[in-house]
Amino acid sequence: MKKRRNNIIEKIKNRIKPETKISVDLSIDIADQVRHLLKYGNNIKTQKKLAEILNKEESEISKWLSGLHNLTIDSIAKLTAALDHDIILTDLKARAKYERVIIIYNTQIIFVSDATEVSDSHNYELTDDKDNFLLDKGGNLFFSTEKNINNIGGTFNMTNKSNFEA
Amino acid sequence: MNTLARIEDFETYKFIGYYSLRSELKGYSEAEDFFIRMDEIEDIQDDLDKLWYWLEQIADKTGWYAEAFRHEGICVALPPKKRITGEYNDLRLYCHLITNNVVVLFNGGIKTQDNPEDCPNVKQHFSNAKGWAYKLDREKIETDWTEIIDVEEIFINY
Repeated sequence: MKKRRNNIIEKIKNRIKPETKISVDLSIDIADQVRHLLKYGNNIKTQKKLAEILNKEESEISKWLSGLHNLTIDSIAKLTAALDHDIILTDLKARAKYERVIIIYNTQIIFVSDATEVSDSHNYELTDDKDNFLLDKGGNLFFSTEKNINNIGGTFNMTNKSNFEA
Repeated sequence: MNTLARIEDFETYKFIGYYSLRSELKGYSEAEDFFIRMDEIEDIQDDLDKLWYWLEQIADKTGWYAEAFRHEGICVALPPKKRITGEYNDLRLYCHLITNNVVVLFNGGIKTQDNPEDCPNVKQHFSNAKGWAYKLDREKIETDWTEIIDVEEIFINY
């Protein structure tokens, strides 16, 4: 396929303001996070249910999740409350929440990190294997590569979890 | 006499290839015409930039998702909303999803009425887009798109 120069798009690309990029990036990130929570979270599973809880039309929620909508702080707060999970996380809050991260592979703890003293982090890369989990310092599951996992935001139960406490 | 239009590459990214439609009688594709015309309206340049950056990001980072579309009949429209001169005016770029990886961008404008058929700015673009989307869907039925590597070989009546 021949590739040709698209002058008008080049012009637009060169003109886009940093704040425009940040706005779109944030909006896409929030939409991604909400879709992820709807898919893998443990309380609200559908946009329809989310709309009901927020007393909105489903089309309004769909617009919020377009990745182009200018969400207000109030709307983000309502989404966070309804989904009972962080949608945006500042760097400071993230450091506090994930001060200690545990990676589990096939029920074995293989990596423990601390926000202030990360060990072994350069040697480990999470793969797409289905039994990988990340737990925050409270033992709450916040990431899983297992497709059917449905307890994000809940506590991950491990019978011998105490063995892994640093 | 029937005029033909071909599908041509517009911009290609990791997850999505954007294509547009160019009449054999015109110098610009439909999408180029849209961006060139809208770029001339200074008041909406920020919205236009935002729209393009969003198209670029979902094509490069996330892939297409259902909420990206604002459904209007067989076509879809891309939505930034901005209050201009006291009235809501929506920038609309009509497009058609061939597969999750192939999106054909048509034309559009600033929509001033709820119903695009009532809006003098977008009425014709909306009508054209519906017609072209229908024709492309017929092509889709008659052709296995998963086998087509070069969609530029597709021609439809303009």
